[in-house]
Amino acid sequence: MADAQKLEHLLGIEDLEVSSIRRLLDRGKKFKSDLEKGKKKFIHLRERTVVNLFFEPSSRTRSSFEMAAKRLDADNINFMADSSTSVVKGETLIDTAKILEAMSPDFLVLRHGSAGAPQLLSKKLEIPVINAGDGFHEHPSQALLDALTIETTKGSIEGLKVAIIGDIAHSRVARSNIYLLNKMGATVTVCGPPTLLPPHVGRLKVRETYSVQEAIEDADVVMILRIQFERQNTKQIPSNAEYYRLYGLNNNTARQLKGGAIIMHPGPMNRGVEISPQVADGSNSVILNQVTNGVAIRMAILACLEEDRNRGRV
Amino acid sequence: MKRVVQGTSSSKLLKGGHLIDPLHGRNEPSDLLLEDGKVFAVAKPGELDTKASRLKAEKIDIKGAYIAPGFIDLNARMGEPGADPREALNRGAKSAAAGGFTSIACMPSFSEYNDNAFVTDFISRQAHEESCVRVFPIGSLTTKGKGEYLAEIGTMVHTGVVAVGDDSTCIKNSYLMRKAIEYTKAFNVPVFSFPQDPALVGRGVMDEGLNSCRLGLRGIPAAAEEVIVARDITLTQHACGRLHFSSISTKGSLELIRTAKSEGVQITAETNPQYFSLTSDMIRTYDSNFKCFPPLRGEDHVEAITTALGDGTLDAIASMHMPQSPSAKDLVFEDAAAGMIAFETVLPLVLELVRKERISLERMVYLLSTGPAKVIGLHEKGLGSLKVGAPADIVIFDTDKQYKYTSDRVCSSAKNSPFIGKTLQGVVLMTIVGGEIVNKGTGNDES
Repeated sequence: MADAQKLEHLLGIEDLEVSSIRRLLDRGKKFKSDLEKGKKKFIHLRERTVVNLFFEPSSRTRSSFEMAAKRLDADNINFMADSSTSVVKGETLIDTAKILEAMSPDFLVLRHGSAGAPQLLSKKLEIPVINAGDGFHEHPSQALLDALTIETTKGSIEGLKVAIIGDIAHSRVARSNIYLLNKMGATVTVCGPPTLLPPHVGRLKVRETYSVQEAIEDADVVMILRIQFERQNTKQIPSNAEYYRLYGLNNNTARQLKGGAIIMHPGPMNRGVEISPQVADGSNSVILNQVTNGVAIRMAILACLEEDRNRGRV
Repeated sequence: MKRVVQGTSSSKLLKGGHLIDPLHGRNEPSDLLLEDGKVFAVAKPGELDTKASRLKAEKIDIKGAYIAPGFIDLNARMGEPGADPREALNRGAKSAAAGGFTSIACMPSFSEYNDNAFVTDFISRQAHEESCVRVFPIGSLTTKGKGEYLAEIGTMVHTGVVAVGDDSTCIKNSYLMRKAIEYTKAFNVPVFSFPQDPALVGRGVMDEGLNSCRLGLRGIPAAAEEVIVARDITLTQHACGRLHFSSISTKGSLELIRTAKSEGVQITAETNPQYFSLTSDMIRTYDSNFKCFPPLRGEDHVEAITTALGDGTLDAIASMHMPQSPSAKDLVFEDAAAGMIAFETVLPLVLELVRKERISLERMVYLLSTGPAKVIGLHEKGLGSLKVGAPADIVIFDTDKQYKYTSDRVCSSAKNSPFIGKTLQGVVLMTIVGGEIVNKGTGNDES
C-alpha cells in the first residue's frame, strides 16, 4: 500500500485510482456489516468536526452525511446556504468557506450548484473537501454507494452491463457512475432523448442509445435518473407524458428485463414520470438499499480521509 | 483625429535594425530617420548618418532588433468613460505600449456606453490627456448596446469613431443588423460584428465538447458563432456594405469567411491570440483565468485558425484585452467573468507561430499592424506602414529573449492572465508614438 493514492479530498471519481475505489468500497462493506449487526457508534472521528455546507436544498445526501459523521462520533454542523442570509447578502463562496474554516472544522462536505466549486475550495482551504454534488459535474459518494449496492447484490461489478436511463446531460450522478463503472470493468450504456444526452458523451467510453428497449434488453443493472425539472430549461422534452411513454420505466418495459436484473434510482423519484410506482416498489428494486448503503459509504469516505490526513502528519 | 502626442519631438536616428514593412515589401536591415513626429527617411544602414548629424538627431542603436510599424489593436477595452477601476486609461495605455501597440481601437461598452458623440468626444479628450498611445473609439451600434435602435452613428463618425459595433454583444435581430450595415455605408466605417448567437450560447460557459461533458459545464457550440457569421455575410453581400468580424474562434466560421472573400464580399475578420495559443483542455482544473468569450476551443479549431492567419482568410490579430478585478475572477467557473488582459502577451504568442514556421515574420507584422489599419481605415492616415511622411509610430522588438512573465511586470491595472508565471519568448524593446518614445523595455530581463 506504500504507493497507494493518498486521499486528500474527495472531489470526484474521475481522478480516483481503482485501488482507492476498492479501498473505499471495502471499508464501506465493513461499516455496512457492522451497522447491520446493530453497532451504532464508532470512534474514528472522535474530537473531529464535520461541516456540511449545502448551497442547494438536499434532504437525503445531507442527512446521510450527517448520520455518517455522527456514527463516527464526530461533531457535525449544517450550514444551509441556499437561502441563508450571508449568501443572500452577497458573500462569495470562498468567503463563506473561509468563515467556516476559521471555526476550525476538520472536514468540509460541500454541495453546490456550480461545477468545480469543490475544486475551487480545495485550493483555498487547508482541510479535506468532500464533494456532495457539484452542478452537473460529479457526485462521487452517490457513485460509491451505488457501487456498494451493486457489489452486495450482484457480487462483482466487473463484466456487468449497466444501463443509465434519463437526463444524462444534467446529471452529476450519471457522470460519477460512468467513471466508476468503467474503472471497475462494467460496460455502460446511456439512454435518453437526444436532447438530454450531453454532446460527446460517447467519448466517455459509453454506448449511446435513444431506445429504452435496446438499453435494457441485456442489462444486469438499470439506473433510472430523475428528470430534473429544476435544472433544465423547458425546451428539451415536449412533455412529461411523452417522456414517460418513451423513456419511463413502466410495468411493460420492466417486464423485458432479464432475470435478476436490479433497478436503481438515486432519488428523489418522480413516480409516474421516469419510473412507475409498481416498478419502484417491486422486487427488482434496490432503491432503499441504496439509501442504507449511503451511510456506510460516507462513513468510509470520512474514515479514509481521516486516516490519510493522519498519515500526512506523521 | 486627435493627435495623441503633442509638440514637436526631437529628431531620432534608429540605427542598426532590421525593418519589416509589409505594405512596401521591405524586409531588410535599414536605418530610419524620424523628424517632427514623422518618418523622414528610410535607407540602407549607414546611409542616413550625414543627414542625421545635420539634423542633430539623437542616435539610437537598435543592435539588430526588428523595427516595424507600431501594432494596431481592434479589440481593446479601457476604463473610460466612467473611470472604471478595472483599467485606468493611463495604465491601460502603458500596457498597450509595453505590448508594442501604438494605436488601440476601444470597444464601446466596457464601462459606460459610447453610443453618442458626447461620449466619443469625452473619450478622445481623456485619451489626449492620459494616454501615451493613440486611442480610436469604436461607437456603439445601438443605443445603450441594447440591440433595439440604431445609435447616432453619423454624428459619432464625425466626432471620431472608426467603426461601430456592440462590443461583445451579438445583434440578435437580423432586420436591425441589415439596417445597420446599410446605414453605415454613408460613413465609410465598418460594422463590427461579434458573432455569437445569444440563444445558442444560452448559459454556456465553455466550448461544447468532450471537456464540457466531463466537467459538467454548459457548452457553447461552434454553431453559435457560425450561424451569425453566415447570416452577417449574407446581409453584407446583399447590402453591399462593409463588415468586420471580431474574435473568430471556429473552423466553420473560417470556411464561411474564406468562401465569402473569394466571392468578393466586403468582409474582414480578426482572431485573438487566445484562440490559437490555448485550448479548452486547459480548463480541466476549472481555472477561471481560462474563461473567455468566445470560449477557448479544441485543437482542430486552433489548427484551422493558424492556417487562416497564414492564407489571408484572417486580416488581423487583435488583443481582446479584457481586464477584470480579482473579485470577478475568484469565483466558481460559471460565475466568473470572462476574458484576460492581453496587450503585453500578444507579441510572444504570435511569435510562437513564427517559430513553428506557420506564418512569416512579415505576415506577423501585417496581421498586427498593416491589416488592422486597413480594417478601420487608419492606413489612409499613414498608420500601419513606415513610408516616408507617415507618422512615426514604431515598435522595436526582439524575437529570441526569454523571460518569466511575472505579475510585477504587468503594466495593466488588472492581473487576470493565465500566462502569469509562464516563460515567454520575444519582447518589445521600444515603442514610439509620433516620434516620441513611450515605452522602453530594458531588454535585460532575467532569462
